[in-house]
Amino acid sequence: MATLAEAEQQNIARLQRPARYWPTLGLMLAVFALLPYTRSWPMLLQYLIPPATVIAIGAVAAWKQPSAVRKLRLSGSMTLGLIGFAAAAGVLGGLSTALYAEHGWWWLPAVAAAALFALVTFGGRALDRFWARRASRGLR
Amino acid sequence: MASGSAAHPNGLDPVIHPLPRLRICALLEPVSEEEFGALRELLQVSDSALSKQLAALVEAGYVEQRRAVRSGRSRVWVRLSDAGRRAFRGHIAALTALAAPAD
Repeated sequence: MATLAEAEQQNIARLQRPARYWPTLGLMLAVFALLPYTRSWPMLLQYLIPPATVIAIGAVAAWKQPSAVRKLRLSGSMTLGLIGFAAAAGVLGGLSTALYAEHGWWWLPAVAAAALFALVTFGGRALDRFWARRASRGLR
Repeated sequence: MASGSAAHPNGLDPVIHPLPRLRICALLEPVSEEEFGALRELLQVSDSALSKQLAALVEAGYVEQRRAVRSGRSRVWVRLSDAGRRAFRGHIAALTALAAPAD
């Protein structure tokens, strides 16, 4: 049983993604929350700049870093956490875009981007910890 | 390839029971697959020692291996098979029952 307890602790530690992972993902999603600001740009730039920015953020964050991919097996309740997380991010982004289009509040996309970044950075870490503990607990 | 192995009367699986193999199964259980090198680092054993333990698990049908090229390097990925996952969980249940104080 001591061996299993040791393996469980090892799993909890190794199955959590590196610290850089969630802030990077948060930055990437924040770019999409800022999309309403690009509406006045030429069409080509609207389609090119945001994906290029996302790719640049990913490339800088992953430069000479070990893989952040974890092949964790997600069970039922773990998947629910992911769906809830994605839904919250989608609602926040969609609401911001709709309200900006309706009322033209210039500050709204920036606030939504900051909120999305905070949600992904802190919520993502918490979700990761939950996943790692939940998956590792299957040993007992 | 043999499929599984005869369990002991107390429910313990003789293939999984040795500590190195128990640790391998415990590390593979929460993931869909793990890279051979990562597993070796986690277990802090040599390539040959890990290969030997994996061979026993593969022989019992508990572990599957595949080779894939990533970043230009050929790597071996290891995963618990469905039979391996069932056997491991059964072994853990038996261990837990043995460790529990008798009423």
